[in-house]
Amino acid sequence: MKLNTIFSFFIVFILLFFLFPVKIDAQSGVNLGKISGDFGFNGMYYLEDSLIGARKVDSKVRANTFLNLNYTNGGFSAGVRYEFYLFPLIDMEDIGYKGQGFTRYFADYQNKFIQVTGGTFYEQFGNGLTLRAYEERDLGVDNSLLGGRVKVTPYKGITVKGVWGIERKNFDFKYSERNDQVRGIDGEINFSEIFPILTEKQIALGIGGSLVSKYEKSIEDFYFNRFVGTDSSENISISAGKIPQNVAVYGVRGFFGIQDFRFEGEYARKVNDPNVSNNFIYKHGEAVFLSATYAMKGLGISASLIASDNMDFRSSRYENNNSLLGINYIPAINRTYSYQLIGNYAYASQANSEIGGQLQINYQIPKKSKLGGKYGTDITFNYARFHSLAKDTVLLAIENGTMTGTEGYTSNLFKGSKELLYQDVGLEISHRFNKTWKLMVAYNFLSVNLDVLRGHGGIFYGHNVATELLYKINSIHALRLELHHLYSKNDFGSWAYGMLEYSINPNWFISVGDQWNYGNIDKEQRIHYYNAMVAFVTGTTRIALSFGKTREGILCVGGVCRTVPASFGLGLSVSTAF
Amino acid sequence: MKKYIAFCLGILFLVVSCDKIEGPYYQEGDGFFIDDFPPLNTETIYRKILIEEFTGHTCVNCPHGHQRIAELLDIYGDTIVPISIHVGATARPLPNSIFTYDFRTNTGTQIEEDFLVESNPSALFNRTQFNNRWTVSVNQWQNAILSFNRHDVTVAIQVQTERRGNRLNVNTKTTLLKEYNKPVQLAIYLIEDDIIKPQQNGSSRIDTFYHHKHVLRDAKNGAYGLRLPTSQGGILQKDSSYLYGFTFPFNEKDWVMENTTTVVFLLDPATREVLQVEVVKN
Repeated sequence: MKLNTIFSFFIVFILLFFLFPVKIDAQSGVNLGKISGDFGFNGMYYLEDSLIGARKVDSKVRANTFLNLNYTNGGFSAGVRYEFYLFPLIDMEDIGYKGQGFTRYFADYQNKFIQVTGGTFYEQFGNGLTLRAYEERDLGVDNSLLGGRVKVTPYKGITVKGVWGIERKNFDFKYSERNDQVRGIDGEINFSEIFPILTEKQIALGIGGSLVSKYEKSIEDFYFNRFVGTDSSENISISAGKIPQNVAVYGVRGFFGIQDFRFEGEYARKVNDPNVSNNFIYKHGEAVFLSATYAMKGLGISASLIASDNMDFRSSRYENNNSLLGINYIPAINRTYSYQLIGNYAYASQANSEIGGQLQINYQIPKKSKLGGKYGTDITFNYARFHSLAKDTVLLAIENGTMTGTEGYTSNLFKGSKELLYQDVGLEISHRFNKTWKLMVAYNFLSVNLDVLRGHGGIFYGHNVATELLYKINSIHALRLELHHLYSKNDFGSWAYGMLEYSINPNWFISVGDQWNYGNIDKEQRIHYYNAMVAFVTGTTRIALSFGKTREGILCVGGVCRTVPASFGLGLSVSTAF
Repeated sequence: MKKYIAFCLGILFLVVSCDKIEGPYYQEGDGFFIDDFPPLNTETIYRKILIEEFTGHTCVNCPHGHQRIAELLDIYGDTIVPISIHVGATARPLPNSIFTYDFRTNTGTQIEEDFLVESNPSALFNRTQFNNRWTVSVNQWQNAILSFNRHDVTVAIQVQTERRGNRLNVNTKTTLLKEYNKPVQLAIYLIEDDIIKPQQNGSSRIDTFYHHKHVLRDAKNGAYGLRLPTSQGGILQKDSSYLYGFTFPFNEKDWVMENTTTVVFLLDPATREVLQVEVVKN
């Protein structure tokens, strides 16, 4: 019996399971359990606009649709998700997220000692340096594993997890034909839970470790060119037997906290993993993540450091699409913003070469002080800077004119190069004047290496000022005004943005906004990207109608990015949860 | 506690799988050096069209399709690149008949499934839809060719091959003529001409020594090829070039290397559209 057929039976079983208890209840009063879920529809009618690059699309009406259904009854839970992305929004189509079908189906049972899961599941070990199976719907990322998971808690404060499965690859459901799988184990000991005296003394202490191994069948020799001199090349190969089929990553981690201070760290190392993202080199990979936080009333300080070298780790050695088949995750530690104009200059984690740090200080000027006023004033300062790692190419790679088929390079995980990837200096001040008025003002200076992050564009320097003014007319009506300005002589030049939102609580939100690329060197490209939206909200349901233009750019969530094509049209979105 | 430790060690044993490879990692070459690819003259580059013709040796109307391909080659020369893919019921070998040869390939079968091929003869043009259908019937093939703007060129492909013993070495250079902001994949197909095998020709005639042309034999990295590396934003920059080498082994095959050609094409996996195709005689 084909694996796909088995899954179909599994889905039918789960759906029947939802219905069956209803009959039991009518006769015997057995606990029905609970059904929950959510639904999302995000559709658009596309119009062509050659000026902004909004291309003509085959099917003008497109939509992303999904439904999650979950059932829980005591320690048992099961769920399915159906996705209809057969004619998806063009940004999803561009990354290959197109198709339809049951993309999630699972059954899970847990008690105090054990939790077992069969079907598709999400999981993360530690900070994700070794394993992170997760979903980020806006990005079109779903790296769920299809297989089994066991979590054992033999003693309070001690957990051991084991996973085994195949990663989801968009709507390719031919799992039985896949030549790859992921296996992993993770253990954590939380001493604070084992020894209550530590908790009494406000001490948090724990250690953990994980091991993840990928199997990918090596079928074909890999051919590449060795360059001799400047005029000719030689076709040579790595035989299939020299391409590792089992690639392991292991990591150790720990945390320590005392009163208002907390420190945590994780180190991971990967054995030889030649793949397209590292040009098929055999060097090991490694990454380290360190974080320290201090928090007290009115003050919070956090500092983080991340370094990553050759740690792109995927189920397929031939895949380097951002959203596909990633097994691990290099955390993005820089501050992320919702400011409209600098979203396009967000930083994407560089798993194969980065070292960087972030410092953030949050301070509240006390309430009822001269500077703080009646409600206090919140100030946030942050500084982030990332460089690529310094690398010394090995002699054989220099002789061959390619790193492929060699150790590639040597490096020190804590030694960065002069190549700046990203820098952000930011200051944000938020102050409520009275019950009616609230103001937020933020300034950021960004330096972004577009050559590395996008493949072209040089270094971008930009000064951004963002303001948000909230005017609460009464308990029902409110106005929110956003005015932003990005000054730059690089990339597309300077931008201005304004948005006015009128809300009638709790049901209606009406907004109009415009992004204006007034500083574009090309006068014809000084385009207004206007948008208007009406949203109706009731309970957990939201229905929104929008019309306008979206600029071509980059969308990043948690350091993972993808391109967004320019678009123009009428949008309708419906979401609800139950 | 001991049993828990044993349990953990058991799981650890299951997942501790790691192949540490010792160098040297690559095999020394056999002296196949290629000259540097000549500079491109972008004025003379046009968009070529890949025609994937679906056929079968017991398909009564397929010789009509083969004839039509030959006519179109006379008209359009090397600006069209045909591949004959044997798929479907009429491509199956028939035991106890003269149609025992199996022309089918895994790649061909995948293309048949992915593009909903319903009948032979029919053809797919640059893996795009024509009149809202993937496959086009014979009488519409020229219209399908005319539907493409040949001057809209995204990419140029250069190919060099060398026959060396029972290996065919292929070197490719792919150059972006304009920026492309989506991932692309490079596919390499091996084609053989003049395979002399029986072919049903009409309902009552069998040509025993039929010359099968443009027959798909093999594909490197599957039906959709190898993904080219992109920058973090998924962009392929204008003027960027990608050099790749491949080898087709001919040992234990009944293929005649002298009769083969190599077809190299670049496609957009999101839409499956072929952006450019090139062919060379081996």
